[in-house]
Amino acid sequence: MMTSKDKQFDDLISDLEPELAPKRDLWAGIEQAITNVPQQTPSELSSSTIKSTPWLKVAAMFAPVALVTGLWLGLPKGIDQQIEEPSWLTPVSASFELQKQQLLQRVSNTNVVSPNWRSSLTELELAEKALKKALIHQPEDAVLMKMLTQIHQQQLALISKSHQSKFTQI
Amino acid sequence: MVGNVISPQQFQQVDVNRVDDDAQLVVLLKQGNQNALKQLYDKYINRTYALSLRLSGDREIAEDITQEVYVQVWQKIHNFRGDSKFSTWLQSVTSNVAISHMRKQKPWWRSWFGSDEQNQQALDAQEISDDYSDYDLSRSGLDKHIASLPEQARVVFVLFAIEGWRHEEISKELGIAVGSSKAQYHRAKQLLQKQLLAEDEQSQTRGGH
Repeated sequence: MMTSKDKQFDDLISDLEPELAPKRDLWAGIEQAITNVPQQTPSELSSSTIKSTPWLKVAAMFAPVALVTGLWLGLPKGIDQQIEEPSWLTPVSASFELQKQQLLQRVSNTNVVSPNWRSSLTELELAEKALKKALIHQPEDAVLMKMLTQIHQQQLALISKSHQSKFTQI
Repeated sequence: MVGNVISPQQFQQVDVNRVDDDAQLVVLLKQGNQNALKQLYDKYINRTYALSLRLSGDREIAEDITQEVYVQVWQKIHNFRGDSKFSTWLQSVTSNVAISHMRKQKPWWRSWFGSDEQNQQALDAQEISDDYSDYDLSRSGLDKHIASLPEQARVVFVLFAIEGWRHEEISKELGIAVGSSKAQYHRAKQLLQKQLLAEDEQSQTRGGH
């Protein structure tokens, strides 16, 4: 049974303001972020629910092996050589580049189903580059880090979905 | 989705700044229109921030969470199928982002959701400080006390008492037992009532002198 004390307490809760204004403008940061991050298509979103693995943990697990292998093979190739990324980001990049190269090799003998996949991949790589640059200046920014992992996932998903094995086609 | 169906061609002729219907803005947003996101941001920013602030208890973290929410809305708007109001979905996204953000900030956070006994100990160990100068106290004294709650109790309290979640939903979201959620809520309520009573007694004492 509700006491008068409980009633008073419930009244206090219902009197709470539903809106509070932040003390600074937050839009500028959001605008900057969404300029670099593409929207996910419905198909990407459905696959992202499947791949809800803790990416950073997986990357961290494979990072030492990937780093050594990457150095040995002359990896990472491409855009990562164009920017000086912080040392703490190197294992993540190396692990991703290794996965990407392996995936590209795997799909090289399959049919391309999306003719424009290369240009889409380049756009994602540019977004990745922009995020890495931002991370140099804001290394503690969890949002940027999350966006980087999403860009990595999107690149792998794009490569996979742009190719179809002959066996699948039959 | 509620409302009339308007073709993409018709939308191209719409001045986004004059659209105030959420459903129309969502359609524009799904087409990649950043102005539509800005319109939704302007409309809901204060609600998003209020929930972020109450869940986190920290102004700067709440600002980070709020920004992340709208980036997620931009990226994942295709997840919104119109089964609920956009504002309801947005609050749900905010809660999810806030909880995820706090977990990342404090890896030990989840481990505190152990047994009820552990929860009790954690709660008892917390000293409730009155030093929340960073917090916006101008609107409600209760907000100050909510911010001073231990993190786990605060999250459960805000979701249950203010956002209207069920304990089953909270338990699923936080990965804790339903009983733990209920225990956290009741403990939070006790602590808040105790604080309010102490505050009331203090003001009466001051008034008496």
